[in-house]
Amino acid sequence: MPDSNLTALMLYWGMISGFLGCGITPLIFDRKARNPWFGAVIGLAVGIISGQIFGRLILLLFSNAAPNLAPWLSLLGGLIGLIALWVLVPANKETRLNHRGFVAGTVTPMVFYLATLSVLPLLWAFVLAFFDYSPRRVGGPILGLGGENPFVGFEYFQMMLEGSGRDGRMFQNSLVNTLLFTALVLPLNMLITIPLAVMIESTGSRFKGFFRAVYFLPVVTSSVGVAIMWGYIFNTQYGLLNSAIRAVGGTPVAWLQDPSANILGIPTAMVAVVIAYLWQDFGYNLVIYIAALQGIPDSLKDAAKADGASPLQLFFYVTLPLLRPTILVTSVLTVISSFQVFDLIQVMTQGGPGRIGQTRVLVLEIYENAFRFERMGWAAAIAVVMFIFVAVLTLIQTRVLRTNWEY
Amino acid sequence: MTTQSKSSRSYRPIIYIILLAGCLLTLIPFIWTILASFKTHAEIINPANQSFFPREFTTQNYETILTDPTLPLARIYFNSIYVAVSNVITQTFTSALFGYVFAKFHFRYKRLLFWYIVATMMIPFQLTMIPSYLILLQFNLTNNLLGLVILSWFNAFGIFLMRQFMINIPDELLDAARVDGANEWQIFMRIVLPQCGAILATFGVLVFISNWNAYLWPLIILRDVNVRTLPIILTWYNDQHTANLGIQMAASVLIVMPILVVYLIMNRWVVRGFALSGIKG
Repeated sequence: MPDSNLTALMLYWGMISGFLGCGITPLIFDRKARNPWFGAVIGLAVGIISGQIFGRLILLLFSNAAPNLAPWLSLLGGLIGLIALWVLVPANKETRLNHRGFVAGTVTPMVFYLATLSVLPLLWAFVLAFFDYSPRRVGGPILGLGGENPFVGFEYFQMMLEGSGRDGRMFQNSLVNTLLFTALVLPLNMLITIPLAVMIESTGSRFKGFFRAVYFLPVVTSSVGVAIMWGYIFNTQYGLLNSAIRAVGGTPVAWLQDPSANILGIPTAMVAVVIAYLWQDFGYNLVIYIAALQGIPDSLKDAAKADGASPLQLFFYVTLPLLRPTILVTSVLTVISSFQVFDLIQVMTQGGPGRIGQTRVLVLEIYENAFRFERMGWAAAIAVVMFIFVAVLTLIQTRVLRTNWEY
Repeated sequence: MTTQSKSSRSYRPIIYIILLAGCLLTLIPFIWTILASFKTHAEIINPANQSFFPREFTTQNYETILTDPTLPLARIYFNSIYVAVSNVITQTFTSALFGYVFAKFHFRYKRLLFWYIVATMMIPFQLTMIPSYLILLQFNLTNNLLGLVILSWFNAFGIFLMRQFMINIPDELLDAARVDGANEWQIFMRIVLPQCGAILATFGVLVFISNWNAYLWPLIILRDVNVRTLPIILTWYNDQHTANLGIQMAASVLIVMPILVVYLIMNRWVVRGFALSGIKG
């Protein structure tokens, strides 16, 4: 709850009164046979303005008498102007009811909400990418930009492109790591989920539910829990994996700590987070594939069987081609989500090991720069680059989805 | 035909063996964690004496956590439930409402608005989280559970899903209610909402799980122990007990298991919801 902070209170006055204004006024205008959309706009304006005026008045009036209650009461300030509006607006003499109060009274608050808490942050993020911004410094009047948070133009993007300086190198490292992570996750995920889905689909219906339930268990598990469980399995001294290696007489590996340990040139820490991620994530694609397999008409399989196709031939020549649209969609979804991996890596390796971090990924880079080092401009610039990657992938996906697929 | 079914039948045992082995692989991390939470510290840290099952069964780890005065566990469970339930209520309500509005009404700029909402689905949260944090700072809502609720009133996927569903509600039904003198809010609350109970429940379970497991955004805005949610308290607590893996595992069990129980009870709806969604939790 806001205490004495006036800026926060002013925002509350504006938001709450604005919502009430544009949500309720259309219904009243509708009842009085006036245009509800007009009512929504008037209500929004009256709500915000009277919220500021009467909210402040109430705060001043009660600040001595009831200092704890005053901020709460001031939230109702907007109602004074709004009730006056609702009572004073005369009813239209021609009674033409258009029942649009409901639409105006729901859509306008939504637009108000989206404008302030969705569109604004989006545009703000793009603007931030061009400023050296930190919330601690005193900036200019508009969004705290300018002043001690100077405009830097395309400097950040140039740094990323050239990999210049420590920041540029860190960014390029995290981009490469993210791409490597994605490139490992995607094919392995497909190799696990498609055959598994086909096998599950071929079992009896009672077991199908059981297998699906078990395989889906990791998907609903908190990724922090997953990271801790797998962190323990990969633990150097006490982990399950190294215990097993010791039991068969091998040398234990410091999976998550040793920057020089690698499998086929890929750092073991990266391999470990990929395995943990695959384990957590594969059930999701599995369920999608099972649903897709159920959509394949039996007549096609029966025809192939009648022609003497073996189960393997059936898989490669009938099932797989028919799954193509699903494979495309799940691929794009998997790429997008593994591009945004954060929780698992932040908990399991904190981006390490190694000097620049062998598992540092883009989102970790964004998070640390924005909220640990408070370099929000630079972090926003990285986020913009990530957005461009994801947007391109999503556009590809919608193109793929739009194509008409027929069996 | 008969030879074919015979040949596929011969594959049967192999398929079941593979699937059961897969189940085992899926379950081993859970089992290993649960078993480790019942091991003594001495057993865990002795590399020469490792075993899968506890040699000496103890509940000491759980007792330590549940009696730890620095860890207000009941409060933190309440926080997680509060955030998840609030989000389920607001998001199912707004999704149903705007799904209905977009499906059954016509107004100017409707397509533009709908297109915008759907487009927000493809904006990665990592892009807007920095300005969103700055906005919450202005609202004095950082370090406050409300900060996890007020920025997510609308769920683009939910609105999209509900619109697809509501389009199939017959107009005649709504017109009949209008003729009977019901106003639009009454129609929505009494006729439209009761029809979408099943799909709203499916969607609600998804929202619950994703909020229960949410990590990045709570990590950013919640600073005090008392206002934290389960996933961030887990990493915080484990950072303080890095040397004691038994306690870490017991804490993980306490925090991960409730959602798994919810899942096992509502398994069918959860799986259907995820399959419908095409987005990840």
